Amino acid sequence: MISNIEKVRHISKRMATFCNLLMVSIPLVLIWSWIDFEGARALGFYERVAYPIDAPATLSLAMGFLVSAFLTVFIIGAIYHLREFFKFGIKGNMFSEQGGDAFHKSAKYLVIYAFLSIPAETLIGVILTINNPVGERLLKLSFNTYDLSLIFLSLVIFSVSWVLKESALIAQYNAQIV
Amino acid sequence: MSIILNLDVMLAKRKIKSKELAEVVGISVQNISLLKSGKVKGIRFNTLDAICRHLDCQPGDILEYSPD
Repeated sequence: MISNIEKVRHISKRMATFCNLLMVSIPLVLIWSWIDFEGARALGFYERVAYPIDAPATLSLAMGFLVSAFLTVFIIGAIYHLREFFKFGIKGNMFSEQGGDAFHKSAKYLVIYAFLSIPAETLIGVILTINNPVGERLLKLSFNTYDLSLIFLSLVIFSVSWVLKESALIAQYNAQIV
Repeated sequence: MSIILNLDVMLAKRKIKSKELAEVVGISVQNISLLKSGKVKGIRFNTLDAICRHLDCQPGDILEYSPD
């Protein structure tokens, strides 16, 4: 029978591998989505972003990519620190001070992403429609249930991570009481 | 810290080894070492009780206050 610590190690190892996979695949998908912008839109990417009358110019696509890449940095940051958290799980000390700190950093990046994704979409829309005739350029700020859920979820994860971090510190202090 | 632990002195006086005390008190030898070196944040009353009972001493023989 597998002990609990072995289960934690096993799941942590799988999650760390999954995080590695995401850290490679997300930038690749991002690059592809801007190279084949029409194809990506057909698959549901950038659905809420304002679309130009004519096909977007190469410069607009390049600038849109830069904005998306900037936003993606925060998701990659969140996944990177989540992987670090699971690495502590592999070692069997997930709920240590360093483990709690890694999870807290991951949650912090997620919150930043959740809040920045709204203005970033607006900015991409402006960049893509900048070549439209005057009066057709769009400044669209949309905020729906998805955004609200993401912000709420990220804030819940952030709170849990803070509790975990503080609990790890308390546990570390208590371990020094004999 | 201004609290000094004199457990090592008491163990030497009573000629008792750390391993023996650890077994009687029910804590690890590592924790006894930490107590001897004073590298602890605190000591539980039941640990202190067991140590005092086995070493036949008072808490004041183990704990000493020294102003900084």
